[in-house]
Amino acid sequence: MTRSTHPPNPTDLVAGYVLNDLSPEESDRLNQALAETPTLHAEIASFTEAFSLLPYDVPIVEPSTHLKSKIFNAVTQSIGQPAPTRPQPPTAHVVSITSAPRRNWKRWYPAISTSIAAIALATIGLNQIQIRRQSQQTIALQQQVEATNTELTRLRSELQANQGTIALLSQSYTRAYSLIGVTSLPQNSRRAAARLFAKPGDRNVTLVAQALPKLPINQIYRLWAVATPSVAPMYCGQFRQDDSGTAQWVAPNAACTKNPSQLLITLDAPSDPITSAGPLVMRSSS
Amino acid sequence: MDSMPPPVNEQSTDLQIFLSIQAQQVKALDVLYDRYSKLVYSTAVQILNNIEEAEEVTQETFLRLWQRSEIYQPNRGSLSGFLITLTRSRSLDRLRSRSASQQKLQRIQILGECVSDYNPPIEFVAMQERSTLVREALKQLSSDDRQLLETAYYEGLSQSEIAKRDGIPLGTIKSRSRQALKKLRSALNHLV
Repeated sequence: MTRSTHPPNPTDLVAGYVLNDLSPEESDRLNQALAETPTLHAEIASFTEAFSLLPYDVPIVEPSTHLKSKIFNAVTQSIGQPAPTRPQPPTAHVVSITSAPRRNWKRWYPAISTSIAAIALATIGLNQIQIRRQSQQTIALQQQVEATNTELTRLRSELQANQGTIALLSQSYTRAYSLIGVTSLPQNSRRAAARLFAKPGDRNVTLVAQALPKLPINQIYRLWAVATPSVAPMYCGQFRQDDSGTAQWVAPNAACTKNPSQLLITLDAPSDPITSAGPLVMRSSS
Repeated sequence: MDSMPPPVNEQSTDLQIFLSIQAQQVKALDVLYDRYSKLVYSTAVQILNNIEEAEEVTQETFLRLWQRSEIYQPNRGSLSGFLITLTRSRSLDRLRSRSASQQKLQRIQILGECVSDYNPPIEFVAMQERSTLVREALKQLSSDDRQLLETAYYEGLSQSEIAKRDGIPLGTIKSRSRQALKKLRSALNHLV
């Protein structure tokens, strides 16, 4: 291990802590520094905050509306569950009224009145909690309905444009691959996303893309399949998507869809040789 | 008797939204989701490179805050920072579980619960402006330093793994990463 000639100062140790790279020795030294200088805790919080800001620079990818509806569905279910039962408060004071008939009733009137008032208040409180829970459920259901309606509208419009894709999807043996753009689009800092559908070993390929730029006539996207990391990617056809983001084509080789470990999409010219690929545009997770 | 926080809207601060989430107001979760879901989801996509898993992590992140709101302490940092950190941690756990040589991130415990009030000004800066300020701050770093921080953040590689992969002595990697983070913090000092 390389040792630095100067021991790191407390701020270096704080940075190291946030980066999770402290050695046990450095950790001891930081603990000691924190004991001596409690304000260093605020330094840790500040460095942690700065590190957590990095994602503000990542290309934005829009989550589907379906995701929101899934989350609020789970929330609705959690609200709908009965509240955890609590141990009942002892009711001895109520029992004592019936179990001591010979006592002087008048002496107990104030206590009885207080108890009745307390019970009444508790009942009102319970009702309020129930009403609040019900209104929360209503709001959650409304959110869910709104999200579902938005999703329905989107799906209806897609239904018209993607009859072929839907037929393909209805076949249970169709596999779907997710692809993500490797860089963000300069115009809006977003990354393209796509799903590619194919039956294993079938040369028919369907791709549905979001935020994938439309290409001019002198450019085309090409699909490549990686069978194993040690083998060169195999050319699997080229495409341009239509206005709805969909493209369908026939791959030159059935091996393209035979359980590839990764799929790649590159940007090429239609006349480029298929022995080499242009810049990488999208890839699936390997 | 518990008092309900006032209803939230798109203009509410993160703290107001959080207090309403604590009171189990669904509308608050809705506002929070609209404010941060893209950032949370994009962070997960960046780390996982997989749409389905990124959706799962996004769902887990928001539901976790809803179901166990006590896991966030407003006096210890921003809500957005908390959400992003939770997203990163869950995404990296998934990333590591993909590889056989999985090593859990084992953070060395530092004294525990000693953080005094820390309320960074980031909450009062609009989302778009935050992105601009972070991009400007990152421009002040060399591309190598930036790459180092991004590798540590998104790939979850330890310093020794980065050193091994890039063929650079561990001491050099450590010192460069720390300097890079110090520079970033300094460039973002008006936010953190």
